[in-house]
Amino acid sequence: MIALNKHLKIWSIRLFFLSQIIIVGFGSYFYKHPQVNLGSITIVNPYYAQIATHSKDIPDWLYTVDYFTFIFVLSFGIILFMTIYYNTNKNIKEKNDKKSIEIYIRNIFTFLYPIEEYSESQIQQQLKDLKKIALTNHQRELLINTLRKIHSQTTGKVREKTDYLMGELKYGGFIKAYLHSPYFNDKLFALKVIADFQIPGFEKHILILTKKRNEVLHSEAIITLLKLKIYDSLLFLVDLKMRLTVWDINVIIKIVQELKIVNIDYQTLINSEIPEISTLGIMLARLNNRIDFKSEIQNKIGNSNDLVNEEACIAFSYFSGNENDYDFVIEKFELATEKAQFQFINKIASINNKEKAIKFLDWVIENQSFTQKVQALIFLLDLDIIGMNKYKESNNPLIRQSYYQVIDINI
Amino acid sequence: MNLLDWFSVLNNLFFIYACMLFAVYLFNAVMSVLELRKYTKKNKFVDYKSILSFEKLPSVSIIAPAFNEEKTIIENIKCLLNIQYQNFEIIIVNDGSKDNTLQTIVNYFNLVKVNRAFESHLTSQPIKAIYQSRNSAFNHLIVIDKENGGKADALNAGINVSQNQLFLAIDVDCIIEPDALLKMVKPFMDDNKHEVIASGGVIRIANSCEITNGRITQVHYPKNLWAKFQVIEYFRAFTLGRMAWSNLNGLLIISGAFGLFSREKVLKIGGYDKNSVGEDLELVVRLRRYMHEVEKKKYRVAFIPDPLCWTEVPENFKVLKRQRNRWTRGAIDTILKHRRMFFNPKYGLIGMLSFPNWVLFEWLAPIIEFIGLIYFLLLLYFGLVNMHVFLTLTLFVLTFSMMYSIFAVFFEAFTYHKYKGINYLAQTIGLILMEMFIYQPLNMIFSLNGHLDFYFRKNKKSWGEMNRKGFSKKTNENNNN
Repeated sequence: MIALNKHLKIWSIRLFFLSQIIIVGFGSYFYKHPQVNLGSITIVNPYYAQIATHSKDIPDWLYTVDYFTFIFVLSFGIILFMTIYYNTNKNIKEKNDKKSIEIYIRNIFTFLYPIEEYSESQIQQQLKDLKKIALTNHQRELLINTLRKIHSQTTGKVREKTDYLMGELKYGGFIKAYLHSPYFNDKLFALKVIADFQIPGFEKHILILTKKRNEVLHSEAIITLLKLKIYDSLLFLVDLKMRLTVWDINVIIKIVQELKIVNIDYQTLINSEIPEISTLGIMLARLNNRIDFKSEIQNKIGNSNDLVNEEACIAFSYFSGNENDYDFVIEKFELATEKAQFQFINKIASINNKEKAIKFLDWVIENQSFTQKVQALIFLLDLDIIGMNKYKESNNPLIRQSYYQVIDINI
Repeated sequence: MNLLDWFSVLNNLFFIYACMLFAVYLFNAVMSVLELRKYTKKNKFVDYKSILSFEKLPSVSIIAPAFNEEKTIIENIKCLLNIQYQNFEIIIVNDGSKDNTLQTIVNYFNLVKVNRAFESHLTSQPIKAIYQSRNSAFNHLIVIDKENGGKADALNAGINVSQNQLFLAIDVDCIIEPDALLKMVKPFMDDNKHEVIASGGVIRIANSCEITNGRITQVHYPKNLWAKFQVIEYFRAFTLGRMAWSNLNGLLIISGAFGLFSREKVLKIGGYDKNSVGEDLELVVRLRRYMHEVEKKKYRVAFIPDPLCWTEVPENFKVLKRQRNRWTRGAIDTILKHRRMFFNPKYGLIGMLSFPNWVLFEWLAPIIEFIGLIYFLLLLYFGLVNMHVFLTLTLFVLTFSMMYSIFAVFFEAFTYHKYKGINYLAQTIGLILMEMFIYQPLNMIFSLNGHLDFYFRKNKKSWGEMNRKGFSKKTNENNNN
């Protein structure tokens, strides 16, 4: 019923705006004709005589200007009215919402932090009371949002109680209606609630939403599915129609870490042909310390996609631990992005083979960019403070400057 | 053709120009509504604070040139230090201040001279010294002391010293919302169809607002009449104008007071033009030109409609005049420098729509307005004015202008609702009626003056002084209370 009402509302708004356009269009034609014949219907212009008298001495174009002036004045009036109405209404709405939220918080807190032991019937009565004060859709939204906020800020038993409360409020139908609502905001709201309270039963529909072309719905649906923890392998990401953004990758990683998702299919993700999925796989493997995927990651170094290449370099240098790895890193240094090169320098500078490390750092100082020179010199300061003095008199002014910066700031 | 025929042709030309101008305004209104809808849809539920724990986040350098700011500089830097971000540095460039700006900062933040190395990718006046704090609480504060060279020069010096992927160019006396950087950075991460090269935000007017510890705590409508006029003007410019062009990816200006740029791209185009007084406009136009001519990639200049930055606007006639004069000279300079973009399909929508819009309706508008006035007086002198036609057309223009302004006010109320109450609305309506007879003609005169200065006078590169009242007085008052 809620979903039907929402559909009716959206169509009536569309019809209203369409009718306004038709009225203005028809009016601009009608005002200078005595009558208009629509099939068998004849509409007589009652103002024609006055308009004709008024306009007989002025050219048509000027009369059109008059007409537009009238439209502008009318629009000014309407917009002004809307501004006053909206301004006042928004103030009142803000006040009412604030008041309602205070009541909800009071009621929810009575339930979450009881002063005395309540019987089952008393608890049921409290729930009934809570439902009674949230009758309209807007009030229910406010109540659920208040509960969501408390849910996100609490842990342990209190959080479990908010989950229980959400279940007992029996808003399943309401959320379903919002999920199927034609309004975008309603859909987002429903997805947020489903994700936060991990409400089961909507997975199929959410999976459809992940394949929508709407980027916001697509992203939110992915987050919801992740939070529901039913597609732990993350393989559903491979079948998406839209490419993930760096933002999406960050959000997914954050959720995976927060929810401690472990059954990820790293192999498929890393080897995916989609660069963003591959990047995600590599990043997750690094963050979850999955050294067993080192060789897959190594194969991605030098990838034509910068994102994949960078993350592969960073992850590989993170996992590297033997001479062969270090040689590989040195060999591929020039292929890496600037950020990855920093990671390489960090790694090589910390290996046990001091001689190899110094040789590499010397090479970086002589051949690489200014910021890398500085970074290499910082490491050299620890490894070979006497040796680094040779850069004090370097012919390259950038090396000299870098040397003095490192000496000045890092000692 | 006789004289009357010529008059008739001129009449038609003026009328067509006015109709085109109105069509552009209406187009702006529609486009800005669509853009705002798109933005709200995308960002309504975004938890910006989550960005702080992101794995892959661009690093940012905040660069703020300062010139003779000793009275307010400490409060301003404190405000910048409160910005929420994970990986950023603040670079204050003391552009050869004649007062004690540098010493004030050095003393307050316990700064010492350091040998910080940098590559001079961009030319700027010599850097005398670089300072950093020994106090770890201020470890991401860097102060550059350099010889005076103007704002663009100071920004170039700041870009040279900065080492991060993005840089935020700001006016040091602006008040930045704590989450501004989080919002500005988002477009760089959430678009995989275009490369985002810059993003800008809405500037709001801080005159008469309550400010505590470098934060806007209570938004008030300005008390000063000039500032009030500028509130409506800023609504129109930012809420409608820039958002509309952002929707089309045709934005040509990011305010010099607040703009985030890709450092790599700005270095590639040689940084800010030190010879331009409209360095903000010039930089974006040159960046766009570079993307079309050299990189030939899909790119975007993003715009954030949230009010993220608050600035003090001129409260007196003289300063306002100087500011507008400078804006006009900056626009003319940029337009002339990049004139080959005008109706040039090689530059896509920028060449065919955005740039012509600037030329026809920003650069030429005051000139045409002025010629129109002279022409009207001439017709009046010769007794060729049809009063009915004149009144009808005047009413047409005035009603359109009123409608457009009230739409901007409505749009503000609908979106951010920063100004509240019937009193504000009543004042605004009065101002909308008044500005057509006072503020807009004055603006036209200021603009014409800018034209004259640019073409005929010597001070075409001069900035002129911008005497600000400063926020710190209010801040101190608040602190004492």
